[in-house]
Amino acid sequence: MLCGFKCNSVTFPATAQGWLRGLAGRVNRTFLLANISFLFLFSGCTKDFQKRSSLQEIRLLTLEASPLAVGPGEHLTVKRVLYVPSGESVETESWSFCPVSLGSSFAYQCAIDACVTELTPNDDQESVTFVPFDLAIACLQSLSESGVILGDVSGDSGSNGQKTAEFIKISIIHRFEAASGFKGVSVKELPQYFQAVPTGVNSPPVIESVSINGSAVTPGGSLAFTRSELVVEVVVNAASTESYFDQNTEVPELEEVTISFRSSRGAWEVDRRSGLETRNVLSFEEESEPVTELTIWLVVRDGRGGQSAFGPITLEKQAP
Amino acid sequence: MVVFVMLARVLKPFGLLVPFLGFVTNLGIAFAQEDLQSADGAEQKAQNQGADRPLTLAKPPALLEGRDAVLPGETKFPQPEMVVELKLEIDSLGEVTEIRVVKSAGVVFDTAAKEAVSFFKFTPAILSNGESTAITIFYRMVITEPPPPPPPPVQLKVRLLERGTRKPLGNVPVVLKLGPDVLFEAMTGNDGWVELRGLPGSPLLLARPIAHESLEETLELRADEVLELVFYLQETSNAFRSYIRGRRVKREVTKRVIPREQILLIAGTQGDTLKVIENLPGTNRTQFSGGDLVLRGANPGDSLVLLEGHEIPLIYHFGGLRSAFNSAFVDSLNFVPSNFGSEFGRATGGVVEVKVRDLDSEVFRGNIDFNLYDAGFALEGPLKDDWTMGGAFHRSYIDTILPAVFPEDAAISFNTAPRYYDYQFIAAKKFNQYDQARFMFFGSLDRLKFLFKDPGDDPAVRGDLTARTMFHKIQASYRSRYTSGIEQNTSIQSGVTAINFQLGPSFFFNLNVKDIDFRNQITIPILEQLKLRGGLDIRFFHVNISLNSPRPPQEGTNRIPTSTQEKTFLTQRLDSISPGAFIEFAWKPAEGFEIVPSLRFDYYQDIDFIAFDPRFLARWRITEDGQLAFGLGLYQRPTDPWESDPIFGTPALKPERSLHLSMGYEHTLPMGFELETSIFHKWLDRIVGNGVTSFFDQNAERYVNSGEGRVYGAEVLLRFNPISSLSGWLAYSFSRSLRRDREGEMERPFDFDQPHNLTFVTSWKATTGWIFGARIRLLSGNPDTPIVSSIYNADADVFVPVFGGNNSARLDAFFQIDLRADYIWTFETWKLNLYLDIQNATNRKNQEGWSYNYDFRERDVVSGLPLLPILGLKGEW
Repeated sequence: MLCGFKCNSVTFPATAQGWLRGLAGRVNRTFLLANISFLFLFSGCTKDFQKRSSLQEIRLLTLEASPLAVGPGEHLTVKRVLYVPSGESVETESWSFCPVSLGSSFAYQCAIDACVTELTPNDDQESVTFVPFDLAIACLQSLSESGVILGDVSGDSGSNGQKTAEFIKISIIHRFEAASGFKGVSVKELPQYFQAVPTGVNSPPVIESVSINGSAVTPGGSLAFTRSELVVEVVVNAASTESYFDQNTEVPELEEVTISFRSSRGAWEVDRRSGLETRNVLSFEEESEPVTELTIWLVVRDGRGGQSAFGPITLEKQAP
Repeated sequence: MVVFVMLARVLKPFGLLVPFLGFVTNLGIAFAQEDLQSADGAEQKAQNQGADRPLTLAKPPALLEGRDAVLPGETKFPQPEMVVELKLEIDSLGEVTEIRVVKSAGVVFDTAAKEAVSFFKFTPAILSNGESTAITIFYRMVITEPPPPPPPPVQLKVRLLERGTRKPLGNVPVVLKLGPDVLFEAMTGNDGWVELRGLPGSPLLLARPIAHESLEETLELRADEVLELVFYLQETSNAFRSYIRGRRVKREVTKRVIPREQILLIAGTQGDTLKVIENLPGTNRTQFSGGDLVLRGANPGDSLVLLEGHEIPLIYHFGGLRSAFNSAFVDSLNFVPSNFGSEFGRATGGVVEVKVRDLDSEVFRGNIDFNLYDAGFALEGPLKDDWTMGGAFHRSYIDTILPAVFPEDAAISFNTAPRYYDYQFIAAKKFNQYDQARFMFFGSLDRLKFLFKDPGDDPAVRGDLTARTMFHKIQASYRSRYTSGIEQNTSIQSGVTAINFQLGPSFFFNLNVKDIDFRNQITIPILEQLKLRGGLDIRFFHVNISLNSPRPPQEGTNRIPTSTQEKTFLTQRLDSISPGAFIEFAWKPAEGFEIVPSLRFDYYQDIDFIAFDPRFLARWRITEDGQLAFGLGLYQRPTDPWESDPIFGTPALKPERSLHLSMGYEHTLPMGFELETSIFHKWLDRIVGNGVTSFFDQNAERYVNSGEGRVYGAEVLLRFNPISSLSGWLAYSFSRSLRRDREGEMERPFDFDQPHNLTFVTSWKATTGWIFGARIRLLSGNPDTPIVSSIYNADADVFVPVFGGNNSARLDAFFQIDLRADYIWTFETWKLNLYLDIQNATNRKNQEGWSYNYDFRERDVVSGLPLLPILGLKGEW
């Protein structure tokens, strides 16, 4: 049976290993990923999991940082946007900071455990504000003592031939535990500059307008609907997207925003859609129970750390 | 008194005159009373002409004209030579005036002799006074029996060919009988031809070739007519052709030579020669049988895939669907899972070498085949001046099928669906039995392109995914053998290889390689017991690499979302030369005992490293049927270009290294069984891995020689051919392959560590036309790294898995039965083969991995291919 790409994340042992390993006779592994994808089309299907877009339990939607890059002595505020379904509550919540993590390959493990700093939330209990540079410097000093010299993506070399760092990528970890026992860990990374932050580094994208079945909606607003599907149209403020200089390829690039669609009921046509003006459809045909009320959240991301949530939008079903 | 005897030889075959052979006077050979009388007469006459001075014979007569005796055609000779002695009266003019038989040989011979002599003319006899005179002489005529008549003209030329394949049936006795009498008997030559000579009539032609139907044909032969007949005889014995060829000389402890004929009917291979590799002990299975070559626990990139001694970039299309070199031209596979000879280097795993067969120099042959996913053809035949030529082409048509069956609402759509092709062109010339040259031009292309309509699980995965692997190679080789026993092989291969992978606008990997490989190998027998082998193995390549992608993963690294990884951009051109040389002594100090020490040298320019690899092999034939082998050797493998790249990688790396130790025992058993066993151990070190600190420190070494490992195990291969129609093998391997990524870490299983691997393969030629095959495999599941939790990356909107112990879990065991049935219609000059190859006949859901939900809290088994019947048709002529 052909099942296509219904499955979510698929892991095969060693699937990715060696895909570039070998040359002129040992290069065929480059093709492995594509081949696996192809073979997967003919493989046995797996069950349909709960979709990413389906809000069934507490879900962290965004970690919105302001600013998106910090300089020495600058304050950083990170705000979490949580979706908490009715009947559920957050039992515990905590924040921590790591100036140098090993990245996703090592589950964002902090390079030096001693550098992990617990952060105190602000009064709103939704955000933290701190000066990461101070915490980072303390950590770097300890790294330096252990012989590690941080690098520089700009390519400038120091006097001893080694690169000096222009910035490091710092991590903010958010943890929560729901009353039901459900736990979540989230991470946000952003650059910490050692000099003043260059101008125009990044700013978060902003959703300009949202309309559902042709009716404009606002965050926190509600809307009545009668049809078995909702047509959601999202317009992102073009001015909030920007071009940037790709440090890797050294060519200017334009941000490509992606909208993540989330809802407590129904099934979206797709979970994500790219573009400044996007359209998605939420249908309820496969719902086991009649839909009377649902919540929609929209999150826009620029792929460079900028993100902002739009919601909640409450929709109530009315008889046609 | 002078006596003359004249001899003449007359040959008279069946009444035909033959040239007069001789009439030389022969003095003093024979004497008779009549001689004296004739002399007296001449003397008397002389006295009458001059009383005071007696006359004497001054000059005897000499034969001027002779003639052969003519005998009736049916004359029988009692003896080979019949002698008739005659008394001739010759007048003064030299004419024969009277003939009398002095000694008879029989009426027939006497008459013939007299008749012949009557035409004789002589010079007159001359007396001492100068006058001519009449004279009487004795003449001894020898009539010799003529030789047997020359054979009648060839009346019949017969050729025996195997029906369907047109293969000549040589060394077959052929008899021409007329009633109970055998008129003629001869053997066919290697080309199947035999010439028969017979008389006009209706003789019976008989031939009984082994394992083929008999020939009994009544012929109508006419005088002065030459018949040329070709008979196509059906193979009848249900026997497979000789599967296991004569044991080749092995240099390796374990070397399995798999002839092509043995492979074509193996279930699950679709008649693909190269796909048999996965059925041999020492081969680990990869996901979906995805085409990676894992030999005795070695990483895929650590083994060599060679075509006549030169590396080829791709062995299979699309991860194992079809081999990239057409099976039609494959002679055999040499499979050496470890401890390979010093002629090969730059690898720490094993070697699979594809040997190309000699093309047919007698007739034009070809085949066309097509099945569920591809079609192709192959042609070959002789040309002028001992040249042979062949060509083949394969192309898939998955690209036309997939769009039809793929749901329209799927998350992806195929723009240019999976497509592959490969081609081969071969030309060869045999100059003589010692020298031959071959040229090959071959290539392959795999292309996949599809569009992710919207960002999927990973926002970075969107847009067009394009993957292309392509190579085009040309190879020229010359083999010469000298009468002194010296043998030399020289070959050069050059071409281009391109690998392109692009995902959306931002991720790409492009690798273009132009390379030249040169090999020269010479074998010199120094003494009867000592042979020297040495050669050069030089590689030059120009690499053009550009990438903008996450860091290429190493063995043992787990998959994480692309969008959460740091991208690396690199564009680089590299020129690198890697000269290699080897020398090997094969010494037989005693009968059945051989030791082979060897040394290989390689220089890796990328990392400026000289590698010396000493290797040693010993073989001992313990009994007539049993042989023991032992091997120990060092193997090194250069780093990949990006690993040692000055910008992207670490130039100070050293080559990965492995020490191989293996022992093998082979025994030929009764009833057509053969047993091969081996045990092995490999120590690995200097394995290139990621430098951990490089993930946050750009000054840190990105790659380090921090890994080490060990592989050990045992293998058993039992081949069987107890009856002529049944053949196959049973293979079992136990092996463990373990790695330690860096000092202080726990040892973990290798990505494809499979402790148990049991494979049974058989083919049975049931009746004429029907062939059945089966393959049963039972293997340990591959290691798996469990996911214990996940972290939400709010920037990328993906969950990043948090892994448990690396490869600390294992997938379910793999069990699969493949079946195959062939029916072959055999026509006189061609065959049509309809086959059904059923993969996973029990439709077992073998686990190939896990499928997770978006946050890795739920998972389900990803199973391999379901029951997949592949119907194919192949025509051969």
